[in-house]
Amino acid sequence: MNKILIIDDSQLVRNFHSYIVKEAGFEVTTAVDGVDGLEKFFNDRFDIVLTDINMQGMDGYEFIRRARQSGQHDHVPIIIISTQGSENDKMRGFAAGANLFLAKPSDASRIVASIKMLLGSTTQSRGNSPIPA
Amino acid sequence: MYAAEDIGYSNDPEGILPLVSRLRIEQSRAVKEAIVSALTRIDHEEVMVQAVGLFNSEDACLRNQATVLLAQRGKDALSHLLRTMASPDANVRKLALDVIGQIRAPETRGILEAALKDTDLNIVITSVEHIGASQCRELKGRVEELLAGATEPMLITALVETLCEIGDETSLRLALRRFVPIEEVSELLQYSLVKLLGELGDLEHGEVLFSLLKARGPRIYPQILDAFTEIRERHPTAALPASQQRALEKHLDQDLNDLQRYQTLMLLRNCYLEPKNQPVWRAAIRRLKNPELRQSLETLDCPLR
Amino acid sequence: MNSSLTAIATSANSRMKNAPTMNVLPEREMTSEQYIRLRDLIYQKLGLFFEDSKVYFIKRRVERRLAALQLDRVDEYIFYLRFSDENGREMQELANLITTNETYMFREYEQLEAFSNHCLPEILEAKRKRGDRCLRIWSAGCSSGEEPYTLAIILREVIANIADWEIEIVASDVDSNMLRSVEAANYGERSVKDVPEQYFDRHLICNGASYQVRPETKRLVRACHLNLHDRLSMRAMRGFDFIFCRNVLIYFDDASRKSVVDHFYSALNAGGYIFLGHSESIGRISSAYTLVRRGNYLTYQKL
Repeated sequence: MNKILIIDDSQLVRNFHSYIVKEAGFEVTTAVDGVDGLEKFFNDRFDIVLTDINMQGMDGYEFIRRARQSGQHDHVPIIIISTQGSENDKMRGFAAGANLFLAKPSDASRIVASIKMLLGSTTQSRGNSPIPA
Repeated sequence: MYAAEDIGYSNDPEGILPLVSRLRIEQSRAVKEAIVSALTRIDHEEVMVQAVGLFNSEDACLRNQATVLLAQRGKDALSHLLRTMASPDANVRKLALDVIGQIRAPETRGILEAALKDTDLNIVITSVEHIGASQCRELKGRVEELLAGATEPMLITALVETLCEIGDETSLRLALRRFVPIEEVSELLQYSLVKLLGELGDLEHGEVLFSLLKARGPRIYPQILDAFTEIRERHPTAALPASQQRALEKHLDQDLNDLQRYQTLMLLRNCYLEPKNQPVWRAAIRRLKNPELRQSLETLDCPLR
Repeated sequence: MNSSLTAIATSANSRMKNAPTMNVLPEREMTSEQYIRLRDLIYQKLGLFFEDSKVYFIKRRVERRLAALQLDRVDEYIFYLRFSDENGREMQELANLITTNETYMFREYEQLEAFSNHCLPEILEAKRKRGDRCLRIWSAGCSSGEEPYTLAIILREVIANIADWEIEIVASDVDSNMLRSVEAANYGERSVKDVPEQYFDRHLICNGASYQVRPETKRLVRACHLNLHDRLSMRAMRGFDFIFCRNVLIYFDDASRKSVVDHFYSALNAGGYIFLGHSESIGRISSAYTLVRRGNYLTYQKL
């Protein structure tokens, strides 16, 4: 089964996104912020990560940077789901190493479709060709 | 870094502006954190004024640090945060609301209530979430009203999950009236409704839960298990109907994690009281990996509390 | 390079001590969601993380707190912790219950394995290359000294040609009585029960009911009085390759914890490692360190 890591400091958002991806057949692990996310990311193998940006504790960009810097699991796609959705924010996300940027609240079908697309694609480009949300 | 630390310990308000200016341009995370630690030690209004000013920053790390600074001040920060709720920028309002939601004070209820009317959906959802987390029962009615008309899935989820915290039988009736039959509601929403049944439901709702289990299977089993556990907690001596017992026993054959297996066994324990059933019971317990959980079930010879 | 730390079978349950009162407490149901919420809250406030296998452990301890506070439900307790725990006092009560305070040698074996089999060789190799023969380790909050002596034993076992190295293990504590114990280096059965058999005679002398650390091992350790809250003393600590501070910081408040961990950062050499208790997370306290994986173990490094 595919494993997904969901990082968000809101319990509601963690629950909501968990329900969505469980329906899509994923095994879900949740994390409460960037530090928690990083520790779980390093400790296990995930097929994809969903993360927020504004989080108390370590923010999403920092999580992505450190996850990518480690050189481990380079191929794991990272999707940002955030309320901060300006062009600047998106650029920052891709620069840090995210693959995709979705706005909150995002509907279930879009989230699932994005995940499936990223898992299905054989060439994982990182940040150089941002995919429009 | 040491300079920042010393300024903090000196509690000198004159240090605030220099520290904040430095914070805005500083590259090193370690130094940024030292500056924020120093600012947390300075007992002065100006720290909070500066902190809300950082909400506009392009730097997510700075925005974050600002929320930490304000959350620490607790009630003292409320007036500053309230001013920020008037900002035209929804992102700023959200940051402020998330801090407000962590502060317990009589004024927060009014702020959360006002936020329910915000034009930005994310703010409304955030407010609903905090109403639940802080168990603000006075706003139950407003939450129920919103649930009657909500269409956006994330908002509906927020509302139902908040009613899990602050709702009562009325809330449950409302929810069930709107989302009926439960088997035909979107799967996404079923998770939250199952939770609601667990919090507020009764033995009679057991049938609904099990019919859902039959229709949906293993994926929703953990939620149904939780919900049923909660209902039984309220009616510990009620007998378990044979059909429900069979459904639970069937699930013991699935690949369950230890906690779910333990929960299932706890629900079934009254069914295995007679000596002739002991071997089956013991065999079931042995499948638990965690020795403490096993031990706790083995010592349960008097299941009625 | 000599031998690496031999795996020993330790009974995970041997340290589970059920206080007599615990069996009298009623069993309450705790749902998986409640467990996750509680666990997340403990993680956020104390930086302690518990795996799923610890659910029963946490549950029973929470039940003690429920009884003490006269609360009925886990939900109420979670709410209490989030909103009514003004000085973090309840969180500390819970922390006291869920952390085991026993000190004995070779405690947290997995962490010591990562240290001896991965981190230590890495540091030694780098030093060899640049002709640096000095290795310094700080055991902060060493209590009666089992930890620094454990490290001394490991060093003597793992480092080939140890005579070529200038080694110092600084064992610091704020409590002078503890430091006297460190200097005495004399321990009872309980403290040495997990020392691997092969190392026993090489490093310990049996004096009837107690065990004395042999001089060649003892001399690697220097006892030192130090208060972790004392900024000036902390700033003077420099040049360490490893810092161990296990099960000490959980009892500090947020601000102090951060201050101590920041000082540790300055005290470490580049590439140095910091080890807290295995369920304690440094990343929550300071983002200056880099999370790395060594063997099967996650730890933090100054990079």
